[in-house]
Amino acid sequence: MRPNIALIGHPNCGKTSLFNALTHGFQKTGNYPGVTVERKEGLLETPEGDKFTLIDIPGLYSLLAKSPDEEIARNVILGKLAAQQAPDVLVYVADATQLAFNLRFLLELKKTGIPMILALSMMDIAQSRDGVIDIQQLAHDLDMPVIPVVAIKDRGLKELVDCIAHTARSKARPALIAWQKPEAETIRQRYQQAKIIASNAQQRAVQPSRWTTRLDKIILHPISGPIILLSLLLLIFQAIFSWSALPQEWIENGFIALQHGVTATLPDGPFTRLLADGIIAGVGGVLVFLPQILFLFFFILLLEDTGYMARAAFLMDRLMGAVGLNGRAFIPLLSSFACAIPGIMSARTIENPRDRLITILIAPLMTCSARLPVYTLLIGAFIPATTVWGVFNLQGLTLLVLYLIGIFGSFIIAFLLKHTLVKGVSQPLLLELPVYKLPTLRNLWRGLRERAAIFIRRAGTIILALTILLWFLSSYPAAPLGASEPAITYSFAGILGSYLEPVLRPIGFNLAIAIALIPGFAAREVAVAGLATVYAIEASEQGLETTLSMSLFQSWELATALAFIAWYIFAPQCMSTLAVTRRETNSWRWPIVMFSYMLLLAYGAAFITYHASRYLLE
Amino acid sequence: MQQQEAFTLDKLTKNSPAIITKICATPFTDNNNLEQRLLAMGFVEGATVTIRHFNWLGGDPMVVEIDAGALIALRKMEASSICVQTLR
Repeated sequence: MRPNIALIGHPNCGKTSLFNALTHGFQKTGNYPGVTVERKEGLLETPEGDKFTLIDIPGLYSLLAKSPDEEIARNVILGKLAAQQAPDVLVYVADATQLAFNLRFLLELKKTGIPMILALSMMDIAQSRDGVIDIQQLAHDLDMPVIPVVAIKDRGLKELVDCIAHTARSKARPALIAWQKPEAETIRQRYQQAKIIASNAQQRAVQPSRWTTRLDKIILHPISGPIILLSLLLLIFQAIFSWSALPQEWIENGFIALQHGVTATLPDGPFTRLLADGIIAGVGGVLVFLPQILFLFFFILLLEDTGYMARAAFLMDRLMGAVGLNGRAFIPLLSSFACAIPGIMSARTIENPRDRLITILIAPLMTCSARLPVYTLLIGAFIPATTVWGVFNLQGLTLLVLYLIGIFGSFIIAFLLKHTLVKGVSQPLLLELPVYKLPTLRNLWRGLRERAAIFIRRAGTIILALTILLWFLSSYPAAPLGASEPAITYSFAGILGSYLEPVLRPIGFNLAIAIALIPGFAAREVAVAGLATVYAIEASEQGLETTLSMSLFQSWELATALAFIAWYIFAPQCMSTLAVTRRETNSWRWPIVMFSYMLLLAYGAAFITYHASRYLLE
Repeated sequence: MQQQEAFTLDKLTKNSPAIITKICATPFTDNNNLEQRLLAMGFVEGATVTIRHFNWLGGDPMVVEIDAGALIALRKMEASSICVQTLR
C-alpha cells in the first residue's frame, strides 16, 4: 500500500494551493465537497518514481473535534477511519506571516508521534513584511525538517517532495497514536513554547498587511461594507441569470438536435423512444443548469480565494443571527440559490451542529435554478409583461417576489425549528479573517472542474436512473387503440395522478397537474416536460416552452396558475436533495422532516393562494 | 508601562490596544469548551488585542486583531469572557 501523507494546518494557511501544486491535478474528491471540506486525496509522485497518497485535511485550529470537519480530521490523523490507515507523515502547513499562532497547533500535533514536516507557506510575503525567518534555528527547535514554500510560484516544492520521500522512508509512524483532548492549561503552555520558538527564529515580528488594513477600512466599513456586499450579490445574480442564458441555449439546442438525430436515424420503437424522450431529454434537462452552477461557483471560489468570503460572513452575522443562524450559514444558503445540493454540502463548514442542521433543512427553500424553468414558463404564460412604476417589468417583479417569499419562509422555518425540533446551545462565532490575496487561476480552475464533475456525475447517475423509471411510469401501459386522451393518462403515472387528483383539487390543481407532478417529484424542472407530455405537445419550430405556455394559458384559470407557482416555492420536489440530506445528517429523520414540512407548506401556500386569488379576481 | 483598570474585551474602544489578563468563561458561556476554543484562536493571557472593526448592525460581532497579526471576528457575548487591561 502507498504511504499516506496528510496535509494539515489552519484554514487559509495556503494548504489548498500547496495540495494543488503537489498533485498536478491527479486528485479525487468525495461526491460533494465544499471548499476543502470533504476528504480530498491526490497522487504525489517523486521524480524517483515513489508514489504517495496525499490527503488534504480541512483547515483547523485544533483537534478539539467540535464540528464534523474537526471530527473527520481527527479521525484521519488518529487512524480511526476504517477505510484508511493513519498518515505515515504529517506535513504541517504554517503561514509564515503568523508564525507563533501557527506553531501552537503544530506542537499539539507533534504529540501524536507521527513523523512531521513543517512547510512554511507565504515566505515571500513574510519577508516583504520584515519577518525574516531563520529556517535552521526553527528546524532545530522544533526537531523536524522545515521547508519554505511558495506554492503559487512552485517554489520549494521539489525540496518538500524530497523531504517527504526521505521522511517516509526513514521514519516509522508509531503503532499506537497517542492523543488526548488538550486541557486549557496545556494549550496555554504550548502557546508559551510556540512564542519562544517563534521569537528564536524570527528576530522581528511580521508587520500587518497594509493592503489588508486599507481594504478592510472600506470593506468592513459600516456604510460602504454592506453596500459592497449587496453590489456583489447583485453581480452574482446577474451572472447566474443573464450571462448564463446564452451557453444554456447552446446546451438546450444541442440536446434537441441530438434528440432529432436519434429519432430520425433509429427505427421507431420503445428503445428509440426511451433514448430520445427518456434519456437524452432527461440528461439534457439537467445539464442545462451547468452554466449557472459554474457561474455561481466561480464567484464563490473567487470570494473564498481572495479572502472576502469570511468578511461577508462577518457582515451577515447579525442578520443571520436574528433568525438563529450564524454568519457562516450565509455561504451554504447563497449556494442554494443555484442548487440546494452544493449548498447542503457546504453547510459542513458550520461548526455548530444545530446551526448546521437548520441550515441544511432550510437550504431547499432558497429558490434554486431548477425552479426557474417552471417559474419562467408560468410567469411567461400568465403574468403580463407590463411596466410598473415606470421602470420595473411586472414579470421580473413577480420573480423577485417569489425569491423573497422563499427567503422569508426560510427565516420563519429556521425560527420555528430552533424552538422545536432542533434544540441545542448556541455556539460562538470565532472566524479568522484572512489577509487579502490575489486569486490564483490554478485554484479557480481546479475548483470549477471539481464542481462540474460532481454535477455531471449527478446528472449521469441519479437523474438518469430516475428519468428512465419515470419515463417507464409515464409510457406504460400504452394507450389503447383509438384513445382520445393523451397516452400518459392511461399510464401508471396517469393512474397515480388520478388517485392524487382529489387530494389536490382543494388547491386548484387539475388532473393534468397531478399527473405532471409525479415525474416532477424526481426533480423540479421535470414537471415542465411532464406538463408538455400531458398536453401532448411536441417540440416545434417555436420551441416547446412557447407552445406549452400558450396551451397552459388556454386551459388553466389564473388562480390555478398562481396556486401552482405558490406550490413550487415550497414543494420538496427533488429526490437528490433528500438523498444528500440523508447522507449529510446520517439519519432518515431529517430528510423526512424536510419532506413533510415542505409538503405541508406547499399545500398550505397553494391553498391560500388559490382561494385568495379566486376571491379577489371575482 | 502603566496599566489601567481591568474590564472585558467587549467594553474596549476601537483601535486602543489592551492586554489579555484572563480568559474567564462564565457559567453562562462555558458550555462548549469556550475557554479552549478562545485559546486555540489565539486569545491567550499576555496577548495584545485591538478592536479594529465593529459590525454595521449594532457593532456586534467585531473584528479583533491579536498581537498585530491574526484578525478574528467574534461576538460581544464571547468577548465578555475575555478580561483585558489597557496600556498607556
